[in-house]
Amino acid sequence: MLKTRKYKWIDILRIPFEISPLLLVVYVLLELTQAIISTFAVVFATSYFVDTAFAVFADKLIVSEVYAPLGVLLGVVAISNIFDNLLGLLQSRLKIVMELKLEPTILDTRASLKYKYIEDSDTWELVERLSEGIVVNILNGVRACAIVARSIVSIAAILSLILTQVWWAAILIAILSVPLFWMSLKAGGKNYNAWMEAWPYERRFSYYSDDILTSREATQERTLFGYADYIVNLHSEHFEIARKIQGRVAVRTKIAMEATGIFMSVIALLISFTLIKPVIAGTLSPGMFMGIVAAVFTMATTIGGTLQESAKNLSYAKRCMDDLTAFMALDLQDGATDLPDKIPPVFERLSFKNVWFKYPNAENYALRNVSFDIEGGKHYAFVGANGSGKTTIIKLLTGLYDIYDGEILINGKELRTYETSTLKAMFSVVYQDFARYEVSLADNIALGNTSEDVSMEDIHKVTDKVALTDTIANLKDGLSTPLGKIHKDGSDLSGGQWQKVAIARSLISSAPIKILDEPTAALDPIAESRIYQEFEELMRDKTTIFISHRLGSTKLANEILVIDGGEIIEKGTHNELIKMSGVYAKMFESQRRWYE
Amino acid sequence: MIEKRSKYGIVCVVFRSILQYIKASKGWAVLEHGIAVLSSLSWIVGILVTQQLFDLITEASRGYASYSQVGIALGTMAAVTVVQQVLRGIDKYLLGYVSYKNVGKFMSELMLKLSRVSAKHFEDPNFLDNIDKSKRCIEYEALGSFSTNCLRLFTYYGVFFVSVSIYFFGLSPLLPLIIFVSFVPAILGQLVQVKVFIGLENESAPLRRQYTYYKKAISSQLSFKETRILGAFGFFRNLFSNTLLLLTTKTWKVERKAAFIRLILGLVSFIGFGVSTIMLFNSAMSGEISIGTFVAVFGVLSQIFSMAEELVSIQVSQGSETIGKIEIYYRLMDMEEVDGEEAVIDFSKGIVAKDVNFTYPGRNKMAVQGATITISEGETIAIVGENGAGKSTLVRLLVGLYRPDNGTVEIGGQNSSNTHPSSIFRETSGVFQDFLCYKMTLAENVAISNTKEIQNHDNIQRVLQDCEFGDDSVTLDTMLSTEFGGIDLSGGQWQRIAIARGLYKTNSLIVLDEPTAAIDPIEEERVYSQFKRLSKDKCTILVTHRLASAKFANRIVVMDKGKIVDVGCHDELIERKGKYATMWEAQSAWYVNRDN
Repeated sequence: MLKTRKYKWIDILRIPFEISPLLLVVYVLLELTQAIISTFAVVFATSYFVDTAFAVFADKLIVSEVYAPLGVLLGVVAISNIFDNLLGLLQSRLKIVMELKLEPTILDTRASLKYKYIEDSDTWELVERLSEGIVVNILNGVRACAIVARSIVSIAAILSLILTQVWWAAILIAILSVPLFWMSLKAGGKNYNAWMEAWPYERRFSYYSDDILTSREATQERTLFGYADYIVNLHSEHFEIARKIQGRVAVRTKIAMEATGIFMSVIALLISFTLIKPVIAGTLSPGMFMGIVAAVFTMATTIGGTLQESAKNLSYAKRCMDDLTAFMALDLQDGATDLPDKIPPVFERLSFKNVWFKYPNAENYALRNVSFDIEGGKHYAFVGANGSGKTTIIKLLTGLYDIYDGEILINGKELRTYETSTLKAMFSVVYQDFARYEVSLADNIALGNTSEDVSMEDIHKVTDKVALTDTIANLKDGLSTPLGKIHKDGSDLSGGQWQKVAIARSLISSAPIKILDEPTAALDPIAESRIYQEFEELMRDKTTIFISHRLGSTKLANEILVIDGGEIIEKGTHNELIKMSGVYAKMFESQRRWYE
Repeated sequence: MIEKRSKYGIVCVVFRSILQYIKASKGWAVLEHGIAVLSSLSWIVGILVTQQLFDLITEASRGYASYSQVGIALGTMAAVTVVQQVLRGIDKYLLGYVSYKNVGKFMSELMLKLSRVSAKHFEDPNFLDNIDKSKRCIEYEALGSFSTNCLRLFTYYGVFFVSVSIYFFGLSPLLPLIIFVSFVPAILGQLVQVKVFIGLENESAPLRRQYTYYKKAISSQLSFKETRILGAFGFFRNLFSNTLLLLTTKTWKVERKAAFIRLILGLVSFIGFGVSTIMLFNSAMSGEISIGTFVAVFGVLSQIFSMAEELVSIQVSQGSETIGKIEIYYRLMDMEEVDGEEAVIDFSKGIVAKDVNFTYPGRNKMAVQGATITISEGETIAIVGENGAGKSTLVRLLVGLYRPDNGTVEIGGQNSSNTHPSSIFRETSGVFQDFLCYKMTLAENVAISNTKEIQNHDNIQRVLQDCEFGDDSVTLDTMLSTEFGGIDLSGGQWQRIAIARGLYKTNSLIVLDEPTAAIDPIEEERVYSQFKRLSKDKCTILVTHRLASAKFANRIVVMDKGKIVDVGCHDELIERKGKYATMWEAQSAWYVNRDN
């Protein structure tokens, strides 16, 4: 239901209207009715009662005559109460229907975004901000619109009461209230600007407090280096700057609000003055006078504040619409949410031919003229320092980035011409920071093969292979034990056990190419060599790619590719590379020497 | 135990928070509450002048009062309204101003406190959770508004209800009953509502956790690419929709129930309102009060009711929830601090650990058990072992970051358990595997280990050169974070900064805890030879699971399951064919030419 287009002010109302026209119309109508009740009805009920009571008091009427107006007065108050309650309920309902509609829509779009956005902090921030706030922002925007409309109706209602008495006062007020509205709305918008101005400082001080002063990760350095006082000072400095920016505007908007209030009170006073004469002349009853005066002054004192609050909410909602416009304009990846192909493609050969690649917004090439071949059934190792381009190659292979120069051919066909679902079926990757899904252990593994129904037997087969059997036996509900913290009886696994789950996930996949992306950074050497050996054994008939900045286990590969600065500087078998006495030989030698 | 509980009882917490609030805001607190009293009193003045105006207009309609008399009354009322408004505006502004100002102060206090408690607590998830709660309690101004609201019970609400009661009593001895009548439905309503919504919260909190998690599984930066490539979108999308539906259905059911309850309570409230009106009316009929008074009081009647509601809702809903959080905060603030005598650490006496046991808080397995080890002056020792063997814990005990549960650690002749941390750490520095990449300037990133010397740019430059940072394009005041408008560095550059940081602090003892885990072999070798050069004549403790790098130590400490299982130089350990020899075998196997 959301499209790629420009979202404007009006969409704050249009979006909820499209979701639930009835609800929105009923809500707005009810707000307007409430405006009439709280002005018109209250004034009339008050004057009816006061005038009757007055008559009773003056012995013009009998006492029992007063009960009807008293009943009316109380009735108006009661109806107003019920309406307030109903309005609250309608707002809750509106929120729920919007959540039900918008949350999934936004999530679907997020899931289909081109991968480049995920690694771009600005876009990421936009996406997070939008999906966190869209429902609440629109809802507040709708409420703000309703309140503005309600204020206008209230003023109109009171004016119409006065119009019959002193017509010129009514017109004067109508003219005066236009700039007043404008002023209030503008003052509210300022708040929002101040918030934007203070935002960078807020990010700074929350960085100091969250990531340095109270975080676990910083504990060692913080304690040993004893810099807490220094950082606390920085925190206070930035906090004070942010506070003063917002404080300054808070004073200004407060003053603007007071000014509107006082101005309104003066107008209320003027109106009331003009009404004294009719009362003395007997054309206006004292009850009516009291009703109008009370209503006018009540409105004078509240309207400034409510308008400003609404203006603030409208600014936020408008910004949310701008975000939505930007969000809907982001490029989507076709087939991003598809399942992998049911029948895994047969893999013969993969070739990089003179591939150049630059990350979006980056200055330097991450890959420079990279060419290599990968043949089915063989094992490959990519070696190089952090940031040399190993992982970038994998991102290109799996179709996460598709803007590159040169050719990447799978079975002779350009990678970009493959369906996303086919690429998904082609590769299975165990990432360094592989996902630890907080679902059952069985599901965690079955997710490795989403295009088929994985049976419990299949799962048991792979868990046996990766030696998870004991772990499963120790879990309360075996394979169906939920993992993680989101479930009440969730269990957690150790790092090593998780690693095995990740490998089991790759094992159950029928993809012909298995990639192991630096799985060992956090492992001790024994565990590390165990994993490489096991992986090699388990994947014997598959094509495998190991990525590492360590040597040693690379010996298992049929071919080793050494990458540096985005270029492939050497390739060959371990023995060939050693004979070449190049970088690889030097690296290997430098490590080997340690073990002599 | 009983004594402890009473220290965090409601009365104590309330009293303490009020004291803390007054201490933090001093004059501002007096001003804020002075204005609150005035603002509260202005209500009664408002009623009085309105009553006067309405009486006069009644007289005027009968011809007993002149235009100017009514005019003056009207003007007075308008003036009072303006004063009321201004007072309320200032009051509200001060409330926000003071409590936001306090946020900064309270945050600083909390963070300084955290820097004085033992580092070991930061390994306890419960403790981290409590920090988080305390932080939120401060950041969302819950703490500040709690204390000021407690004070407002007297300075605002108390003054309001007492003054109104006195005024009513003056009119008719029965009228103060109105106050009583207004409180009954307010209290009832709050109790029922709180109960309903706490019930909802308990039921929906786990659902909301799941819902948020499924959203994350699809769209968080952490699992985005894996979920996409696995084709796991459908799986999580399904879970997401089901939970969303459950969640909204539940919320709607409760909202409806709550609306119904509110309606009933509105009725109760309304009956109270009706009773009050009839009481007023009878007083008017019996001549105790004038019609004008009746209308004036009737006008504020609904305000009295909503004031009672406001008061009760602040105390009940904020009370129970906030008091829990504030209690956690105070318990944190009362935690035992790491303290001790100032002393001179003489590293020529080395480090002597005897029978050291250590258990992390909240866990029952000892992380280090019965460790005895002596490090002599200028000695380099390496600690090796598998993941989870207790290497890092032992180091933290040896340098005094943790105090042992049993046994003693003497650092430079001083017992670490009763020496002040500032003495202990004066000449200790370190480089850690998970060193921090501070989002600050280059100079700060280096000198943060020694903040007293943060302005000494020559020294910073020198140490950077020593560590071959050698990138002239990065000046000392370059911000090292793209988020804060600076640049980003490569992993290798950060590593060099981390080493420079460790060296910038003058030291006689340096800890190297897996300092090269993220770099390639050639760089690793370079770094180690640098360490060798730089750690000459210093006590050095090296933690590593790359055994080869341990060779440059004078002695190697082998750890397994929290215990020191062997100590010796490399050759001795190989000779003994113990744990170390097994590990060495496993690692060196990759480098000895087994296939030749």
